[in-house]
Amino acid sequence: MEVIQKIEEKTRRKPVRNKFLRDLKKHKFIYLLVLPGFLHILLFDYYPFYYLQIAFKDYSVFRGISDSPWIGFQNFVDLFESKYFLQSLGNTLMINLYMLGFGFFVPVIIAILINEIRMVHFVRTVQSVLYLPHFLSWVIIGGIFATMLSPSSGLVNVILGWFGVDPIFFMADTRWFRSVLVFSQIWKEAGWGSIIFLAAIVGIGTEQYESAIVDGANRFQRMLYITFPSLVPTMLVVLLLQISKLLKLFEQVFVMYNPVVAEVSETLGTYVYQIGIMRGDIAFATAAGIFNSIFSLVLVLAANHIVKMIRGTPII
Amino acid sequence: MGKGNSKLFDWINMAGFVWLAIIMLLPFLNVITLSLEPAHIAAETGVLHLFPREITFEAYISIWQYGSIQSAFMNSAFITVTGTLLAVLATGMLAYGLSHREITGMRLITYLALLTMVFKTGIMPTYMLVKHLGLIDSLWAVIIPQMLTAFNLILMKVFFEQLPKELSESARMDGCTEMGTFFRIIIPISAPIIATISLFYAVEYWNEYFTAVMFLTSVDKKPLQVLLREILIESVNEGSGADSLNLGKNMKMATAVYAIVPILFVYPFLQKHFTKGILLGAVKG
Repeated sequence: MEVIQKIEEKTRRKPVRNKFLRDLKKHKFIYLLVLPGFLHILLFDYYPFYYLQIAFKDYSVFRGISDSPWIGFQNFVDLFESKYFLQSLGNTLMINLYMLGFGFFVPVIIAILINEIRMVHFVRTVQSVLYLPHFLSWVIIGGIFATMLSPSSGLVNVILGWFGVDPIFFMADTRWFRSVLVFSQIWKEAGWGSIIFLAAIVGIGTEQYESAIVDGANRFQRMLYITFPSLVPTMLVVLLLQISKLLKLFEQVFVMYNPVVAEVSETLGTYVYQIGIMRGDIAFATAAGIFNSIFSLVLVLAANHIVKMIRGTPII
Repeated sequence: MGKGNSKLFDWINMAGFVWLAIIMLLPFLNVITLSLEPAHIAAETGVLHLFPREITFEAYISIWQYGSIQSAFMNSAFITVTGTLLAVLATGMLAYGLSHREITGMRLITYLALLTMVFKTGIMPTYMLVKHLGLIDSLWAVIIPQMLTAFNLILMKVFFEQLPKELSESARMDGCTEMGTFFRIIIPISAPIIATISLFYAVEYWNEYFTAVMFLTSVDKKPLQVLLREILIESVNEGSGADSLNLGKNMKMATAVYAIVPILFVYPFLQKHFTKGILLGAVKG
């Protein structure tokens, strides 16, 4: 035993490089296993940082990256002077605000109410139905909504017609399109979002409920004063996660929008795509992308800080 | 609130969930009904199309006569199968290596992999990279960049770390090399996690839309999701899209069902494993 300890101590004192060479010899196979994945991470996650310099250059495809002149923050200045950029920033924030406002508590309520049902088969069936849309692509969900909302033959307009309402072209009406985005987002993800709250409910100690029953609290009071407050920490984590994804709102809009409703639904993500890929202004789009990432990080840190100020402890 | 009230609440609550389930299922019922109806009935306006008045599989059969749909289906199948195989291989190998925290460098690579979750460079640098690699308009452009996701990597790494250490130790005692241990001991007992991660990647690849739009330019490279968007949304919204395909409503819906069915097929497994995965992520996070 002592000998082993001594050897271990010796090796610990040796410089890192030696340990690396020894490990390399001893664990050749492990290094070989790691290599492809490691190279993939370097190439697809870290090498692209090299291209970020384009945002600070007057880039043209013909000159190439290194021969394009540096222009400092000019692309960012242009960005903030662009009406469309500011519009897409505003849209992104507004749509997300609606989604959070109308949708944030839906998974919480679903979880609390589903937890009250004691019939296992009923619960499982409902869960299977509620989780399903999460696994379907936005193309399919968007397609289903386009079919349901079609002004000429869609189910929704047929039903509205029974009440004498004229057909509404939901997908191509600036007054309605954001509501379509918000509703379809909730429809697709709310059920799935309830899983994490259900797990948190399972973690609540039974003693709390038992003493509440002794004190004569009824089911509503138990849900309101025990279950709901116990979920607050989970809600904050979920909120932070959603804030971190706020500016990533992309695929849903990209799939569902069209030129008619672009002014109310062009988001930062779709804007970068339109400018960079469709119009080929790569420097401008890269600058918008950098702004996107940094602003996201700021939002998360700010949210965390605000919670810390209110509650005393941060979320993360 | 007495016992009676509590019972009443149960009934109202369950009735509420039945309603919710109906709201969730109605759109699917609508799509399936339309796909099963003969063209002239599916085209009728002013009716709900929630139960087919006549059932025919005509739409499902005739949709295959369109070459573009066949090739889109084949492209999606190729992306999904090849992508899933490669992704599971790359992720599994890396995760197993990284689970050996005591080996020099493994911790560093783990941090590098985790950092990618916090800061992404965005779509433009990725686009430039794919372009420089010469992968534009190649199906590989949809497969290779998505081969490794941090979430799946962590799930697999956690699984390998939880395996009892005695397993590989006793194998080594018996003279098994690291390679032998990996192939003869680790892979066989990792079948559940390999199956889970395969499903995750398969669903991601099957649903992949945006990278396909961005990287694939020629018509015959389109995967199903791209074609589906043209058929289902562009044609409704803009009255154009997929110009060459003047499809009846029943055929459009049949195409959608073709895209949904593979997901439905694996859904029971997905639900079980995804739930476990997300809970694990929640605990670790």
